[in-house]
Amino acid sequence: MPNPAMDTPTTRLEEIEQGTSLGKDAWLRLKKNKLAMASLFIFVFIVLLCFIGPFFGVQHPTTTHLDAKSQPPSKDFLLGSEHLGRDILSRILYGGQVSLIVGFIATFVSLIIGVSYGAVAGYIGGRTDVIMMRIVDVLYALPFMLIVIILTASFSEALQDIEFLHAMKEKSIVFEPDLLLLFFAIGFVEWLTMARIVRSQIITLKKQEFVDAAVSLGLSHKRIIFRHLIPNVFGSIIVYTTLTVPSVMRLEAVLSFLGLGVKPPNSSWGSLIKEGADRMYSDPWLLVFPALFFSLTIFSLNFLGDGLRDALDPKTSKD
Amino acid sequence: MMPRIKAGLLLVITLALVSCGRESRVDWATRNKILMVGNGSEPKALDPHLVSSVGDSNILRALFEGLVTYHPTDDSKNAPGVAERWESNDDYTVWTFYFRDDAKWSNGDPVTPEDFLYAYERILSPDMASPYASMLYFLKNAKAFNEEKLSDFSQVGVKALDNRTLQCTLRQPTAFFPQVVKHGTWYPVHPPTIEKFGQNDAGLKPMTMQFTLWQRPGNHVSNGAFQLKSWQINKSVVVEPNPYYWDADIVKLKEIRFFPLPNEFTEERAYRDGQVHYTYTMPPNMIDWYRKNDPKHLRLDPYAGVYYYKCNLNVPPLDNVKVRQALAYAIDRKKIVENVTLGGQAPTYAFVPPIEGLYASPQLVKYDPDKARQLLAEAGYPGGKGFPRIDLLFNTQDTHRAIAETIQDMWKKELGITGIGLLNQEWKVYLSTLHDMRYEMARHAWIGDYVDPTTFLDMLRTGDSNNETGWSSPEYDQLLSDAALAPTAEARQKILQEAETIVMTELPFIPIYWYTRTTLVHPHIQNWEPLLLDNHPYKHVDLLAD
Amino acid sequence: MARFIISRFLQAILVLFSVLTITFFLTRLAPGNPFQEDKAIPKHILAKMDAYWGRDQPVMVQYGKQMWNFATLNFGPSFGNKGFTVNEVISMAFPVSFMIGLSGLLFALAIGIPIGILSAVKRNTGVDYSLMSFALVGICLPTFVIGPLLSIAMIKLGWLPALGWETPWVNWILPGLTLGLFYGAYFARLTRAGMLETLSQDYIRTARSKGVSETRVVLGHALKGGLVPVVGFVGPAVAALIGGSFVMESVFQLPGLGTHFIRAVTNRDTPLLLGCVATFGVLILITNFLSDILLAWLNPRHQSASDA
Repeated sequence: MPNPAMDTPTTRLEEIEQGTSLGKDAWLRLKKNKLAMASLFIFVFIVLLCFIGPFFGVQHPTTTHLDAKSQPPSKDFLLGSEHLGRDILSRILYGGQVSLIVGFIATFVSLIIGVSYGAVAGYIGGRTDVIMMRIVDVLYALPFMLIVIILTASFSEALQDIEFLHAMKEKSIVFEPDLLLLFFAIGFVEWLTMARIVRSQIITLKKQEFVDAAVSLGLSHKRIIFRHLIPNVFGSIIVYTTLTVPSVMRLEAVLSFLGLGVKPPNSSWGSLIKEGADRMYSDPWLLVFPALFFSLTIFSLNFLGDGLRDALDPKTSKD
Repeated sequence: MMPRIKAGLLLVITLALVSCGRESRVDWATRNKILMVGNGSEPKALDPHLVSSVGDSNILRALFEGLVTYHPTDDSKNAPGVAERWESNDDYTVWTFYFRDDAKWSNGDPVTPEDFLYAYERILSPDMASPYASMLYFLKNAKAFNEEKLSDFSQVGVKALDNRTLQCTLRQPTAFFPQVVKHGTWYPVHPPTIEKFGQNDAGLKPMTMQFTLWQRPGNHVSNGAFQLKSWQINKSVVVEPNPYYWDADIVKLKEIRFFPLPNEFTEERAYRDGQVHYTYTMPPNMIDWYRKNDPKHLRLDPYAGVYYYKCNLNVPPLDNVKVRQALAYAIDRKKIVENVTLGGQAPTYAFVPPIEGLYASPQLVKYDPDKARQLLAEAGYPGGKGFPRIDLLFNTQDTHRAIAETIQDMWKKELGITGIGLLNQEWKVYLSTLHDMRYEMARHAWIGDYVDPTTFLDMLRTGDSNNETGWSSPEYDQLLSDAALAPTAEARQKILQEAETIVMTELPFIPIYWYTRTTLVHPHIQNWEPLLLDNHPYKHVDLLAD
Repeated sequence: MARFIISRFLQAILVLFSVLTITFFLTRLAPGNPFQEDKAIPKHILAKMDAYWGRDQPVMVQYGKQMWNFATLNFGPSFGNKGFTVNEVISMAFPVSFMIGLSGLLFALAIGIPIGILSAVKRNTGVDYSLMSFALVGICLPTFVIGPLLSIAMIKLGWLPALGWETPWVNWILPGLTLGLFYGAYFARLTRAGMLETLSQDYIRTARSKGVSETRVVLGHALKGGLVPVVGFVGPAVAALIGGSFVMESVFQLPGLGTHFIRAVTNRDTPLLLGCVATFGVLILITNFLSDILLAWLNPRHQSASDA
């Protein structure tokens, strides 16, 4: 039974303002959520597998074995081989490095931009909101593919010539110069929907009593937005963020088709799934295993996100 | 919302019940003599003077007929078209075509030599900017007229002797000229139609209007076995028999539907679902599947085309002939055709595909990794050490990528070269990189326009717009000119072989394989014989259920 | 209200104008000639083509012409499809995309919203986990996987044509379902998140404490607030659905807008591209406008006030 006395705006404000203890509380609550903890474990496992796994005797991801092409899983190829006889497992692991890094950096960029942009537009409202949201409309309607083509054609070669990146590329494909463009291109589109979602939530929230209370307490707008409003929409933000990760990874596959993103002969999860989807009828394992890794990651991220949402929700403990 | 879903579900269930035991789309089409053809991408135009792609010419071949037309079983033979017979003078520089009396347009008008004159003037008009006008450069002065160096069309080597005879005067002896005029660029157009729809306020000649409504169903007039019935963008082009066609009695099909199916994986599914009788191409991974499970549908026919890598000779180290030779000798082509392209392509050690009875290429380039390593060492890069970074350019497509990845790996394994990057570009970017010669090494392919080795060899002449390698050899140019004047076919073959030997020693192009046409052909289709140029005359095609 | 609509209309024109202007100049930046082909076209012919289509004129003149075309709603002939004007191309393709998109949206709403609500109500139970797993499958399997899967299944089962637009009255089902599963998964996740947020709001507790039945609390009070994040997502999503999807059209061989959009970009077909961008821009503006109105209507404030 909720206690009405606890629900006054001031109590809630104090709760939210106590950042450190909130974090500790959240962690304690998260630890109790078995599904979330299992997800966290699986996720960390996949990340470690992708980044450390390749050091433990998997085959080289770009070495072709034409006499052993398109083979189902066997002792030589644990997860089978693809149409040029390259080892699927090692292509998944190396591809995972690209996908995870792209997924996280691009999502992070779009999260930061999208949340602040949406929150500011929604909170200030009025003419500022109108201008900000029409800019979003313009960006939505621009032909993204054309922008990508221009980006690739005009900057790709310039980046290719930076010796530092080339030296680093030898160590890890993550330093592939084109990936930098990729972060930019993906970040460019992915924040738009996040901004719209956050804005719509803020608009409904800002009319509630606790905001009036915060204003009357003389808190700055910045503080109100970032300490009081945004934490209240963490739920949607977390959920949409966990949804952005897969869409970023998929977008990467589409972009590498246009010549941006991961360069052949390297792989990424998105491009492996795309190749597998085309060949699912003749060689199903080409789709199944990359899709399995991808799905496991997305599943664990989403359930972890749900757990985090529950744990961070200041109201949960009282329900 | 809910009623709609329910209705949808109901529909699904009803359909499920109804569809059990219902005949497939192709069975229905066969019964109605409708040929369903998967045809690559959406046609750019249905105007013979505006198109250049294979898919577009597949449609135009049904709609139009040239002076000479394609033979149903052998591309190196000629069948009479609008001309019932033709002859040349002794040195093959003047050709006379005698028209049949009953050649008619699809509106009943007779087809006359004047129509052809009009068409040739149209395609060669500089303002028409026809992409493939160069096919008519065989005619005397045609090039000058097209390049605006000559403004009087009557000086171009073509004239009507009377209302049943057309005479072509050529720039050089061409014994295979009837082969050339089969090509779509030599089709006639119906002058009154072009004039009628070409009227404009801009003061341009109606003939040279590129965008007019004449290509629409209802307006379109053609002289082939079929006429245009409908054209819906990205859906289908449908043609039906032309009642006025002179050979209409032998036309058995009631309709041909051309479907744009640019995605090969989708097209293969369309075939398996029984939606098309014939596919434009097919994905390599399904070739093996059909071999094992459904071999009677699979067709792998030789095709006059060559797949190769172009080298930009202005860029080191590719300016060094030994480097190019080393790269060429280190490619195991047999492995590539057997494992990557899979369609029974022929590994090529020469440039020009073999044309039976006409031309055999000198086989010079072998797979010889030891020699390749030695050549590379001689060029100054022993074991690939110090080899500069160069990019191998290709347009984004599965097979191109797979071949590039394989060859990159071969060069790495055999020669120790690690500095070859793969650069995939979107189509138009690729074209501009290629045609502006901003590439180092690039994938390219060439499909013959007519059955003769010169359709391949001519592109390496100095200054040809398709050379694009920076390679030039006066000796080679001279040999090609000599070949035209050779007294006998044997002598000509020898000279051309000599020319090809130069190419294969200097290797501005590194050939990979000769094409095959890998398609799915439904057993219902009759009279669909393997053809070197794959130009099937539809008037002989029939559909019979088994 | 009238003032609001007029102001939005004026904003819309400004947005379209900016979009078309930026797009026009982007097409000038992109490398590649629209008329160049695999077999190199001689330079003198390329120059003539550029002249014929007015591409040799000063950029600002071309820009002015395009804008005038836009103002008169006549985009002129397409570079790539020599037989048709841009207006014809779009008016042929739009109904197809609209039908597919609308069926996709209806499938998505029918699948996504109920799953999201049920999941939120049964939060952290087996029901929640299994429903959310189902939704996540939809998210993990992109349309280029679900599409061919359904299509191959239909080849085996023979219930429906696996692809094509020869028989539209049955051809819409598979692409609609594919899009519905995919977007439905997003709707489900967002609905669940929104519902959870709303269910813990004060006014819901108040309603519960007053003894309002759980069904009424959920559907009558919480749902409106719960749909807020969905509404933020739905505007652009609907525009994307109706604007045509290249992947769907390629997988199911549909003559829709998405293919033209991609072809216009890859062919550097400026008139067609501007036409597609304008169409898509109008769609975005309309759907975002509608979603803003929906948002105002969903705003739970007046409700909480009446309940308090």
